[in-house]
Amino acid sequence: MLQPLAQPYIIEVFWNPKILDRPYVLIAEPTIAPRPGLEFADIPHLMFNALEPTRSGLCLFDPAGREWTPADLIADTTIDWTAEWLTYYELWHLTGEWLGPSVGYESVGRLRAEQARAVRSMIQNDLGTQDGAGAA
Amino acid sequence: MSKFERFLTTAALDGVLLDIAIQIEPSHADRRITENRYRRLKEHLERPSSALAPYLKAGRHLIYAQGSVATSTTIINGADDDRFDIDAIVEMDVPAHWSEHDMQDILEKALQGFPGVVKIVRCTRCIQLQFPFMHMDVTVMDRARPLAVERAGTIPHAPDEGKSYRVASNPWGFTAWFRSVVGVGQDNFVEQLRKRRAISSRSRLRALDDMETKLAKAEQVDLPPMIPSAIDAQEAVALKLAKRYLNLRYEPLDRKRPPSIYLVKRMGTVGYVAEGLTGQLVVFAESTAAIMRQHLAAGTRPAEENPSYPPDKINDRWPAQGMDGRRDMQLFAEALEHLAQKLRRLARAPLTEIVAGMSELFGERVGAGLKKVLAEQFDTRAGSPPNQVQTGTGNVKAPALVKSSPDVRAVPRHNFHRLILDEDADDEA
Repeated sequence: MLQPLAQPYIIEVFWNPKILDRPYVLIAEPTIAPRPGLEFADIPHLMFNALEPTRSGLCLFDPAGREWTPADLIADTTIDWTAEWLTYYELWHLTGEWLGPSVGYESVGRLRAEQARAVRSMIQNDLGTQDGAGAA
Repeated sequence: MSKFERFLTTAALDGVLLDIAIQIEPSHADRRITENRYRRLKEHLERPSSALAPYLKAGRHLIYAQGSVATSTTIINGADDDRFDIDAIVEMDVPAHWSEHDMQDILEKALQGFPGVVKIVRCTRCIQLQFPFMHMDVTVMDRARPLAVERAGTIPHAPDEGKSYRVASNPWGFTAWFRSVVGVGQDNFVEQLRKRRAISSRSRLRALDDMETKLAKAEQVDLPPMIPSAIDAQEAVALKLAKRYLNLRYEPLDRKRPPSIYLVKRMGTVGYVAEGLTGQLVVFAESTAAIMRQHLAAGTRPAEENPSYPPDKINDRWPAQGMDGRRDMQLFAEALEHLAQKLRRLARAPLTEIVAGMSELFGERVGAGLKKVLAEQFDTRAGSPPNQVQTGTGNVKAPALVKSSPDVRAVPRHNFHRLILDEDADDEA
């Protein structure tokens, strides 16, 4: 159990170095949810489980930044980062902004939206080129 | 979750309530302007042309702050107007032939022409000076008849209609009692208050003229203080919150809320609650509601006295007599029970619910201000120092507010990331 602010949470931490490359943290109670009008993929900084979104874990560090290795104690890293994630999650619900340090796209939802925008842009540019040259 | 209850704290809600209290209290600059208003009151009443001047004997009369300013519980009213309400006593030897109405008449005459006053209003027991963002209630206290208790006297009760009479009073003694029971505040609490004030205190009062501006800016004024030093005790802060809540709760009702002096007496009697500011408010609200319920069941009414001077009856005008009084006590009990229940719930609630709850209890603008304060406290995107976390509970503390302690440590540096767990796609995108 963690109480990062006022709301207490029950968390589950899964770690098996033979199977996982990092601890998998789930928020068991109360379950996390998106802001009104948004989807689960829009919740920032998840290890998004596309097959079962409500079982998505938390993405707590940047592997490329070597911020965690199996030699690090979960109690000193993962647990503290989970408490911080929950703090920023509540602030995100309140303000609409993720106020914690992060890298890359904030959420899978934003990543997908950006990818979709890039594809639409490419198609429109391609159509524009064909029209200009005269379709074959 | 009940098996974990004994590990849970109210630290987060305590912090939020502190932030709220800072939004509704006068700033340090406001206090300096207020100090100057009292000084000007003294000068104005003592000027040679003042109607009171012939009766103010050097070394025999005193003009001083009482009420919320003296007990450090002044707040922005919040209900019908954004203003501070402060009180002053003119302690003097009233001529034996003066009636209660004479006391009011001459005080009202002496206050005419006070600089910066927008309006002067005659009330039953005081004359009210109305300034922008401030009302000052001035009361004459007669100490002509020697009394066994120092600084005790009588004040006039002079309604427009009905009987007038004298009321036993010792505001100086009451303030001394309250200040003695709460002290100057617990070290940790005072430090938290100081840190949060540095971030979000704001001033409201504007100097009336150049003289007030000059005095307000002066760091050292070679004049005796007119206002007692501030008390940063948990009890005083809880009183600010209780008063604000009750102001808003009673605003749409056609009934008077209990006088502030009764709330101060109750809080002083409750004493310091070690569990924190939330606990202080909950214990105050629940114990006072219980007292109201006991009186309702017994058909009696509260009869609190000034501990420094028992003839000074705190409940002489509230609750009302008879059935009106029962209604007064019922409403007050319901208001306090609502406050306690709400705080108990919010002590275990997410931030969105806390902010909505604070708006309901203490005002919409306060809720909006709180949202901004919380965002500023915890925004660590741009290279701020790391948050701190309490071991054992996972309680996260904003870097600017944390006090170094063996059970608190910095969160290891990291960046939140995201990835997709998908059977076919790459992990990292």
